[in-house]
Amino acid sequence: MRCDEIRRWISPYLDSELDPRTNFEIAQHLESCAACRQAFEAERRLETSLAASLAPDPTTQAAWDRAVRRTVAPPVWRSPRWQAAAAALGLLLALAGGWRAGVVARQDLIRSAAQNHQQYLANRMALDVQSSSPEIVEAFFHEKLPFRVQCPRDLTSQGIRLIGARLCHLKRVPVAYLLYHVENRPVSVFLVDEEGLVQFQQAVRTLGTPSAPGGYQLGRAAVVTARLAQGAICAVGEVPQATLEWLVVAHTPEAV
Amino acid sequence: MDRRSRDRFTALLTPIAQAAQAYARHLAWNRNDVEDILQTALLNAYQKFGDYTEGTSFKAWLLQFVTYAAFNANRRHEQIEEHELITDAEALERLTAVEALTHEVVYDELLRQPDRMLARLGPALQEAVRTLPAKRRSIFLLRAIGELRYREIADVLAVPVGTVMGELWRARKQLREALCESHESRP
Repeated sequence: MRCDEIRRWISPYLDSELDPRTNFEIAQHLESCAACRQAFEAERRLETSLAASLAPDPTTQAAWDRAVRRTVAPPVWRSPRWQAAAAALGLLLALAGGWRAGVVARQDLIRSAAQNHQQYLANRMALDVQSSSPEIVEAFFHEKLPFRVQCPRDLTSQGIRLIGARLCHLKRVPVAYLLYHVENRPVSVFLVDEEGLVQFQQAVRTLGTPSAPGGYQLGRAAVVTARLAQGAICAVGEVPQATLEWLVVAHTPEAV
Repeated sequence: MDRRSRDRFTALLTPIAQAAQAYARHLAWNRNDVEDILQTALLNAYQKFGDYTEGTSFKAWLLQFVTYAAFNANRRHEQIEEHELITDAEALERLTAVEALTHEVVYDELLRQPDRMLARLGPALQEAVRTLPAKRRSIFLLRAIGELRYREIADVLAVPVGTVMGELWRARKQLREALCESHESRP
């Protein structure tokens, strides 16, 4: 092969992607042609430098570390031992808290939401869509629910991160389930529309407004519920109640 | 997932962390999306870890998830070009065009002192990579950063191997041209 023919193969040759015969012919040519040898070697150096220039930065490293931690780190509250401890503590607190906690735990919407939240913690429930993009999550619910789901846009300033969503059912009522992480702790948010809310008679009587939401403590978990213009919202998680209240307000149409 | 699988997944992640990060970083159209892309890719890969075949390239397997997550994220910012990926034969026809570059003085300098030149042209390189068409960018990065074989890249993107070769060459040429232009336009 001539020099110009040889140089046509420079890219796949340097990537070791040529068939053995062509590879051999080029190698032979390079042994005898200093100009081509230098050209190939220079291209190899440049390609190596290009790749090295595209190394990740410290910001990406930090993002990776967080992503790995959230993905594979065994959350202490999911381990059987901690779940048992949490359940025992919850029972103690419920007893210590008197009848109010007991009543709250039996309230239909809260009970259903808390059960679903527990299912997620126990890894018995998978998300239908995993994305931190509000637009993607909203699009997922489009045409799956008879009402429009709107997700808040700027939550990261509060340390809240959207993880994903699924279409789930509480008392056979289709509701939007949104999963958030607050400091790596999962928070479940349920959105039910006016029509579905009819099935939760106990909740209808006790729901607060977004400006004055109902907040309860069920053992380690906090629960916040509120009436929306068209339906209701319920947030559950082992995070401060104030955080859930903030999240609930962020889901009101005015805030979104 | 049981603890053993989780530990195995984590162990496999360690040696490819740098490549996965750099790939996501430069494949993302918007830098703010990088964490989302990594998170989505890792969660999806973790959930599907049962599908991974031991002995095959875990890096190629994981970068597939990063690719999909990045393409999804990028859709919010850019129109994914549906440009025709050139075929093998067409690519080879165009390979001689590299000669045109070698006549440029700047390119000669780039070849002679790549590290020194790239130290100055780093931002220009990153911008040039960012403006490559989506699949071409992915192909280039999978090779340059992921060091995947053409066959593996073809599998990740579900395109023919010939297309990988052609698009890779085009990406390299485009980047070299951009670097030369950037150097010449500097005061």
